Amino acid sequence: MRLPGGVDAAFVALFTRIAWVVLIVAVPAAARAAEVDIEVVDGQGRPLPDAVAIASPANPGAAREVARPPDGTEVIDQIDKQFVPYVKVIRAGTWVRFPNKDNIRHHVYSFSPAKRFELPLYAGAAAPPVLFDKPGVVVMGCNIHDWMVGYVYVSESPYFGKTGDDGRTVLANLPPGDYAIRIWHPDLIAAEESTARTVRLAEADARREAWKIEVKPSLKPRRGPSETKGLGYH
Amino acid sequence: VCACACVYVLAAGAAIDCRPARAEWLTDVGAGARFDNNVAGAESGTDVHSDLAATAQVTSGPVYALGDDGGTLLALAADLRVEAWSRYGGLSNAALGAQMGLDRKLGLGRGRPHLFADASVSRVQFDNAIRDGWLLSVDGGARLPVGDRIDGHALAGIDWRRGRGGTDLVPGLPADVFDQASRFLRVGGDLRATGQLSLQIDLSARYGDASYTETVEPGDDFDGATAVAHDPVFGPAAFVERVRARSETLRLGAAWMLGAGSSLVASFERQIAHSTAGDLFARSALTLDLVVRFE
Repeated sequence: MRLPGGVDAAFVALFTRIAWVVLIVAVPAAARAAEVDIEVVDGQGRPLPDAVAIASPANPGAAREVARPPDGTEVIDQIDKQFVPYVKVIRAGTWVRFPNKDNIRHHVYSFSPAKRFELPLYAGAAAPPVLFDKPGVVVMGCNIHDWMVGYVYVSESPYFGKTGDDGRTVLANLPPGDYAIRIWHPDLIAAEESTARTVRLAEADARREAWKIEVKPSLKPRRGPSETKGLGYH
Repeated sequence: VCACACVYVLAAGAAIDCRPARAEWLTDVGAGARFDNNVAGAESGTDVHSDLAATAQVTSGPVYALGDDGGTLLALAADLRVEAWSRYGGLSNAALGAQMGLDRKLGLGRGRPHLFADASVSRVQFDNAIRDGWLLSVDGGARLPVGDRIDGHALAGIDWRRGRGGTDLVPGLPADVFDQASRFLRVGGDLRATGQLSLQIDLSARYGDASYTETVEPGDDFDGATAVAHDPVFGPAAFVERVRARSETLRLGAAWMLGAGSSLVASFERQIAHSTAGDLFARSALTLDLVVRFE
């Protein structure tokens, strides 16, 4: 019997059985997964938002997960002449859309070695998605509004997180094994590699790790008026 | 006032016509105070008068991104400024004008140099009619960002002031003291000290007409003056003279960001003017303004 659209009913039945088997095997595996609760503070001990935590697995089992390509398309908005979010973490191989939700045009670009791209002046959702296929940090800007700066952290590992205002993030669903966990932040003074530490996770482990990192004072370009004469951007 | 409005409307219309770009509309509203230790621009001690003014300003207009790369911006603005001086009310004035600025970034990205050109025209009305007139200015220059913290700039320009003139007092000397023209050069920089604080420094040199007021005693002449008029703002024996002069001005400024669109801006200016006969006058001014930007 053929279903509408030309799909064979026997094929559907086989697919359903396979899906159940995968579910039965995968659920216990997920239950055994470990997690790491990460806290990042700055040199003064204050919670540090927008810090990226990446766990790179050393064991082969987790490495298989690393090899799996990412799904879906991520989004970085432009709202009120700012990139939202300011820092975005994605896996290498992810497509990202850049919808412009302002009622003016933006011109998004990056010169970063991990991804050079340019989305010429556009409004709305007219810009095509961008593929970030190489791990590294991508710094983005707008050619009209020089104060607009945003970051895409392209991770080689599927295990990552970004701290919120409380300076915390949780790396969940980590298969047991050894991991090198490192921290990155736009204002990080030291090299990213210097923050790395090795963590061994057992089944169903729930660990808590804390980092204290030195960051430069934030120097986001100004966007308010700075002189009492004239308008414009200079 | 009508002429200013016409210039503004025509320029805005031309910009809309030449490129159907979506414009940003920026409005700056500011209020503050200005202290000047020598409002008369006088040379000698008894003629030096200090005063304090309350100031307010509104500047509003569109900014258009021209071309395909967002590197060319055309800014148009209408501008209203008011100064109310406390002791010398004749200096209180209101100016209504229009500005146009074109900025071209050479290349893509934040650290690229810019070339710019600006023009402005305004009508200024004083409580003292002899000072009423038109102010016109054009300038052009370059701006160069240096790293993440510093912007340097250099520009050259010309400005004109067209005054109403008074009654001729001295044979051979006109009374159009406030008909003036000057050329100027300015270099400066802007340092982003912290995320909230930016510091500015500007050095400018001006050559052309300048005016200063002094009390004239019987027997005094107006040697070196190219125009002279009675100046009732500073008393019955005060005369304002126009001379050829050069001056240097140092401006130090600081802008403290209070939020995404508002700043507290303070500045200090020191101007020293020289005529062919020697030092003419020195004056210093302090200003403090709260400026709020609406986008």
